[in-house]
Amino acid sequence: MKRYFIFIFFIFLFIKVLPNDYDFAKFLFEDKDYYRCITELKRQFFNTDDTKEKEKITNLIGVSYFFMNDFNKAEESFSKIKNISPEYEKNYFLTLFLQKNFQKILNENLTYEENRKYFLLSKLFFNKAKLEDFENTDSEIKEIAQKYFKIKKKNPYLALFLSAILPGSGRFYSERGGDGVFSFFTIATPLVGALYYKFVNENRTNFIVTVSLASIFYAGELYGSYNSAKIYFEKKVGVYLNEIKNNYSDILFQPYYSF
Amino acid sequence: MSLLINLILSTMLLSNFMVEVPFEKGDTQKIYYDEKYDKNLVDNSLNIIPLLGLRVYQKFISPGQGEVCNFSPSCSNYMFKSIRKYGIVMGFIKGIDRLQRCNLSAKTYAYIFYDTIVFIENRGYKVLDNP
Repeated sequence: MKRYFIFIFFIFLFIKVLPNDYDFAKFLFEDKDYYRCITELKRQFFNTDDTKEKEKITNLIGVSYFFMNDFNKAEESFSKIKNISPEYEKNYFLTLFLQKNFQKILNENLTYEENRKYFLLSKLFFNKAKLEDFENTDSEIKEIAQKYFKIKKKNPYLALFLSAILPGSGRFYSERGGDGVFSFFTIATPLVGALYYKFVNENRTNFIVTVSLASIFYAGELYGSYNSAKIYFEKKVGVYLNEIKNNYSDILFQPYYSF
Repeated sequence: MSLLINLILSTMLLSNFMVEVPFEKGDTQKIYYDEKYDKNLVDNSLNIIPLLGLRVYQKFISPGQGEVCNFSPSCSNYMFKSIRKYGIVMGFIKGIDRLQRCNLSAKTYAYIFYDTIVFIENRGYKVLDNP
């Protein structure tokens, strides 16, 4: 009886003293202490010989880097295991996507068909997709694509033409009304001065100075309106990308992990 | 001959300014100064004249105005960097465009047309916009 008691006591002691290997790493992960969680996971990686365990730890290290916004190191971790399972491949594509490295995703070979959505999204934001490509996809992806194609492009030459006729209107066209009003006055003010010195108070020196100022600002206005229309689409796509990152964070932009 | 001596002297003066005068008011060039600008310099001796003018403005006129620019780098630094990067004509036009964009609406366009707003010591919140 005494022998059994001692045996059971040691079993309980063993259970108490040696908890699950990942408990502390999980605690650190849940506490958002990702830096120390990575150290703990690397220790586990060093101790284990099981290949499956090593893959799981590599993924967890990658996810920790992902949540630290260190996408380069996350990509490095995920790239080691990307061909093993669809979840790991998803994490790899997700990291590349959030780095806006769309070209690299398009150049990769897709191993698992369920990750085609990331491939399509990259094609979309790389400006190489058509609306027809999204017909047989999930509703979220279709919705993202539809909204993307609604983003308007602005013609830089039209902006240039508008600004040449009425300074500031080209910037209004590119949805920069504040800049448009301000640049209009930077040109109009010296121009009024120039007219004053030409016709009312005739002063040749002041006339030349004011006309030069107006010309300089006019040149700046022409370039500015052209450039603002040129970068308009790119900037709006950037804003839209941030928007979908927030709106679909749980469905599309959440990396896979399990302890 | 005297013109040549003046040119050499002004070049030397400018090179000294480049080392001594910080790129930003305060101490921000350590954070935002990008070394690529030095590698992409346009080698044009005409650049010296506007660059020297800009440095004179920054040294003697700008301190009197106080902290009025909405951007980082400030408009004069933007023009300075633009002239060095794109040459005298394009750099100057880009600088003028920046002057026209530096108005009350600049901060409302942050996160849409400009990447972000940063806090800079001794300068406050500024919209980040590099040439």
